[in-house]
Amino acid sequence: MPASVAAILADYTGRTPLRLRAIDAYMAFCAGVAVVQLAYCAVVGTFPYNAFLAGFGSAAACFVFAAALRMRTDPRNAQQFGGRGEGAFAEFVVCHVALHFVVANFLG
Amino acid sequence: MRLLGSTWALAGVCAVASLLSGAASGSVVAKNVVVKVMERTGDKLFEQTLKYPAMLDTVPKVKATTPLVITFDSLTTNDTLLSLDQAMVSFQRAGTEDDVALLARSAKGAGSYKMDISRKNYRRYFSSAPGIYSVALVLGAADHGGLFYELGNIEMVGSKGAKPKTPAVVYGPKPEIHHRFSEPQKMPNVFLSLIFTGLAVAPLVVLVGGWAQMGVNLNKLQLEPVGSVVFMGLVATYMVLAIAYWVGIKLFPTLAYALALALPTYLAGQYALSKRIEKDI
Repeated sequence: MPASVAAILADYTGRTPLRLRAIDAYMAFCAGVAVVQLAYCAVVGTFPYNAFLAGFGSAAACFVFAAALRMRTDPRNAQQFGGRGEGAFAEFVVCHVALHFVVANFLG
Repeated sequence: MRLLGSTWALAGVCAVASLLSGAASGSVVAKNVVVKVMERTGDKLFEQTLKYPAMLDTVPKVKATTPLVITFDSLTTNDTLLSLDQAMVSFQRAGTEDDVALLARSAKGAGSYKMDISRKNYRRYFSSAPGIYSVALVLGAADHGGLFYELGNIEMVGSKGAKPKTPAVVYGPKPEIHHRFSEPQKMPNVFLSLIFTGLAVAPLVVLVGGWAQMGVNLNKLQLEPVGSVVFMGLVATYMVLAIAYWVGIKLFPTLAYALALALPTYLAGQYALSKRIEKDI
């Protein structure tokens, strides 16, 4: 592994709290799932299109919600957002519930 | 405009009704009736002026390229020009019940009318139904009654290649319907789908493994175990409801269940998260 990459990883692991690293891993998971679905569409085609939109949209929306949760729970943003992560988590949950009903409707 | 049924009977009824009605104060008179067959260039092939109740001496031939033109004036019995409520020229094909009625439009002024068969109307009504047609003026005015004036016979020449007209009503079995269903979509190989399913699940395995390696744990749930379990259980119930909606439950029952779960979920979440904050500080 190049030294620059190792240094970045060491700095990231050392400076970033566990909670944020857990959220980052979740965001990487959402991005990975979206990429796999895109690759499937590129190989096979978009049929059924609604199912592709539901799956890809779900992964993309989860990524966005996780990004918002990360911003709200980052201790460096405490002055801007105030409060603790519990409020942000509650909003995260509500957004996911609404998202999954929309996705279930779109899946067909 | 094509009239359904026999124009003759209808026109006769209208004429008799207008004569018998008390509202008719006179009757319609047609004068200066001129029947012409013209070239498109304007040259006249046939022309005859008729005085009611005279009819045509001969049977002129009409083609799409040599249209029939009929002009006439409508007057009252007092020789006053009269604007008509109805001015039609009726064509009834000899030996059949087929008839066509074409509108005579107001020409130079009130009381003067002209009917000419456009190429479009000729192709539409006469090309595929050539033969001898009996032509008549069917005129009517609300206050002056009506007039049915038979002008004579005209021969309509069919066009080359025109298909003969089939009768309007055909009794018997209709042709068999052959449905054309859309071709089913080409689906990919099952193994390819299974491979991609595995690839889509793989990031989840990597995520759980990554979390385990990082040391992500649920230790802080112990700050408020009951509330947290109830809250997460209700959130999981929402996810189950979403799956049930996808599988079979209709929209409105789903919304009703979601509404029923909303308040307990909110209260459980409020309790669990606030207790967690209190105990963590």
